[in-house]
Amino acid sequence: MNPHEKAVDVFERLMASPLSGTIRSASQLAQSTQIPGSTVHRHAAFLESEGMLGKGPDGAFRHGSAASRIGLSAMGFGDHALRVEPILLWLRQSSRQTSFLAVIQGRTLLMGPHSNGRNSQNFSIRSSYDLDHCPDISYGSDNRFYLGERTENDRQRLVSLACVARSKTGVCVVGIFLPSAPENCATTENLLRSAQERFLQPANQ
Amino acid sequence: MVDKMRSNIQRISAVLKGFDSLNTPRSTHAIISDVSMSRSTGFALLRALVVGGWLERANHGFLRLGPKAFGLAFGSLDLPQGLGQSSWLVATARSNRNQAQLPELEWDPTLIETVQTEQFQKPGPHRIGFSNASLSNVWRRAMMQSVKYARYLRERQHLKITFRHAQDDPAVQISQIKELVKGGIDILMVSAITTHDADLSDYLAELAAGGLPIVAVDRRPKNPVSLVSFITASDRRIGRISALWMAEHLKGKGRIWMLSGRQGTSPAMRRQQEALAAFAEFPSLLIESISATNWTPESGGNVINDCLQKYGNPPDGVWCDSGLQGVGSMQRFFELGIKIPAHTGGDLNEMYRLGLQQKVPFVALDYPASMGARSVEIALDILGGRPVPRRVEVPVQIVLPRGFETENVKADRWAETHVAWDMPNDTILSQGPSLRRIGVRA
Repeated sequence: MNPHEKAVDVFERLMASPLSGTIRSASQLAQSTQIPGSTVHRHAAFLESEGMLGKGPDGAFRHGSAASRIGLSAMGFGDHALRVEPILLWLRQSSRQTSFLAVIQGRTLLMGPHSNGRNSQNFSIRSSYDLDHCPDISYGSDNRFYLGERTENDRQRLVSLACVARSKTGVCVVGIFLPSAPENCATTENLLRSAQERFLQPANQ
Repeated sequence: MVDKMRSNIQRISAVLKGFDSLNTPRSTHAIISDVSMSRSTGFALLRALVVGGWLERANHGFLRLGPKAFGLAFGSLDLPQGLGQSSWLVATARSNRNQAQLPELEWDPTLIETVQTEQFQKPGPHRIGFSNASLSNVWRRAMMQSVKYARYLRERQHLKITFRHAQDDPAVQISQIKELVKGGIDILMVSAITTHDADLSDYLAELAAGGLPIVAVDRRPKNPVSLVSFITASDRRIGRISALWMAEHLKGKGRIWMLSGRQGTSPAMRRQQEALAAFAEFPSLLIESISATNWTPESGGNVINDCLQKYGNPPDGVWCDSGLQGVGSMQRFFELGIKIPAHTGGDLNEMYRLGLQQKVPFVALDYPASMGARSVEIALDILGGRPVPRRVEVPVQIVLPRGFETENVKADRWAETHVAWDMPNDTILSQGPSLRRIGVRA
């Protein structure tokens, strides 16, 4: 491995570290990435200062705002980066369900930023899911899907999706986990439509 | 070409940040030139990034962000924590019943307004001037710790932040801002003493007209036209949720004393307005007293003394817009041997400790002192020429002791896991990573 490939490898390991949600210090980061402590300390401080890494309310490392913007830009949806946090938090607080922004490529849903609601905490969120059927998501409609393997009477993984934007690489959707009680789904999906409208509003500058 | 970046990690970060929101392909020469890499380093690093999947080739000599880069978007924005699985299940069953009645939270459209900042772009190292209202209470000192943590992270980039604390005197604040500007700064951060100060508002408008970018943190000036961005938290949410919890906890009836924050400040006014609006929905609640405090334990305790003298019997609930005075209120009841009534507030570790030890029913919505660091990030985004939100609201968590949730107010976190038993009473728990950062003190 040449020095440049090695640097890319170190970067990749450092940026993958927030996925566990349990790493709170540079020394824990060094342990989990198996990179020397002094190197990790220096790079982690830099990446945090650049917004590539951040720290959540529990002190655990997570992806920072700059990382989120790069990620969305990679799919051509970087214009939504500044809206994601307020809209998803509003949606989660209003519904108590997990809200998220994701990109659909074929039958794969690539999960982006999300806000964990208390009513859908029974399983951890993965970075990608195979959808149970091929989506035909259009503006103005909502679509229900099961994420991951479905069991009989399993409503915990039922999500509703609404289209926010399209690019050559995929369809950007705002989504929400639906409540277990079917009679409450309409309220939740109304909130989802409000969130969709906010993503669709032109930037007011 | 001089290679200005110190490490390949810095170069990688700069390369990935250099693509626009639509991932428009860029020429390898433009990328290398922007990041100020030597040609040999540049081509080798870009090749490694392509092999790793972080970049992909678009056309001959052009690159764009690759499939691996999308993974950077994956992550939790905020994590309700410390709620055990069994608690989740109970809470889930309960809240599912009420889902249909759940009120839609008010939406603030300014949260998705963005401001273009190319005109403020400047090469580093950057100089920030911070005019802070004061260090008169522990929350303000925690906010300063958060700002200093942000500076500490950027030591290697030689970020300079010059602080001035105006001791809650508007005239002093204006003269200190003049001094900061005269000393040479690239951007001004300001936490205004009151929203009523027209002189400060006019002076900031004058500075903005002259081309100086200004961001406000925590408290804004009267006229926000001078601001590029305002970093705060939702005072309306704090006021409304805390009052709704108290009203529901008291089953819609009883006597309430209200202890607001510092008179004339925008957070105190907004929280009180929202709380009063929420209480108004419950006609059998009696708001017996509304008092301003100085956001200090002493002022909270003094108000309780005065009210006890005036009304005789303790109330059913004490609504405080912050734990800064709330802890003084709780302490006074405790010292007098009176059972502590239901309280609202938070912020201070002591409020949680006392509330839990004395089994006081309370709800806490900590006003996040971590907004200090966030304001530095926004300031640096402005100096980097990147678009920023017009208004940033740092998320506020609902913290409740186990067993005290109400129909519409559920915990994001239990007080039992939020409290820091190993830290001093005057610790502000919402200051983010600076909380346990040794050596970063206001």
